[in-house]
Amino acid sequence: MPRPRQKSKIQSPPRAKAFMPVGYYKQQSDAIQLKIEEFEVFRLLDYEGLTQVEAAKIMQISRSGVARIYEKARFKLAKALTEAKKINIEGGENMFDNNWFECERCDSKFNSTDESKIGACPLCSSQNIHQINE
Amino acid sequence: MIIAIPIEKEQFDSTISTTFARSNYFAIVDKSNGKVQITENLFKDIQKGAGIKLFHWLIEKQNIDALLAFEMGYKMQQMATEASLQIIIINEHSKTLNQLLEYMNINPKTAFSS
Repeated sequence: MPRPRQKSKIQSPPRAKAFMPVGYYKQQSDAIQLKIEEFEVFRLLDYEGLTQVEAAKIMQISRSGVARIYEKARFKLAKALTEAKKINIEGGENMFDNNWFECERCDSKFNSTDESKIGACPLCSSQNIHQINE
Repeated sequence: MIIAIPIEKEQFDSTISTTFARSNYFAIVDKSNGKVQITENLFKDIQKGAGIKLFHWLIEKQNIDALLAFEMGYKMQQMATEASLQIIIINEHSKTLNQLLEYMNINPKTAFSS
């Protein structure tokens, strides 16, 4: 049995939960599951422009681990774009840097500064919040 | 609670800047007394290390304890986490400062007169 994957650290949860192709599709083809750590590697390397060594340090995994995840992320994105598939961003072996919460009233995300529970959204003071975990 | 908000223009109907450290202006909002102060970002044209300088300025001069952003760099986020600041990430940058103040129950007219 292979050893379980090392958990990678995620700085902030992805903004969107899924992406959908636009066009003539009567029948929705099955979706691509993009893991959160694959999204994070893609973001760090291509959006922030970091090197693999720097990204590995942030995510607390090995450099070669970053390269492996990046390879998978690129293949999945290319496949989704070519075959016009929906991309779901969820799951994977990861943990968040902070405790992240989402407010359902103003749709903002925020972290908790200490371990204690947060009762209300710091922006709109709404109590309709939920923790983002996964 | 004092929140730093990056904005495009020196106005209350300005939209939120898509970058944090290189935004044109900052609105420093004091949630406890409803006062808002708009200052120019002195570090936006620095080639390197604008985020670090801005961060120290915000902490030492403005005493902020929360950052609001649409997107921020990984260094800024790391520094904010280490200094145990609260990070608020909004979903759309098309929101204006007025709308955010409305969420916080702050009247822009009374806030600006300070």
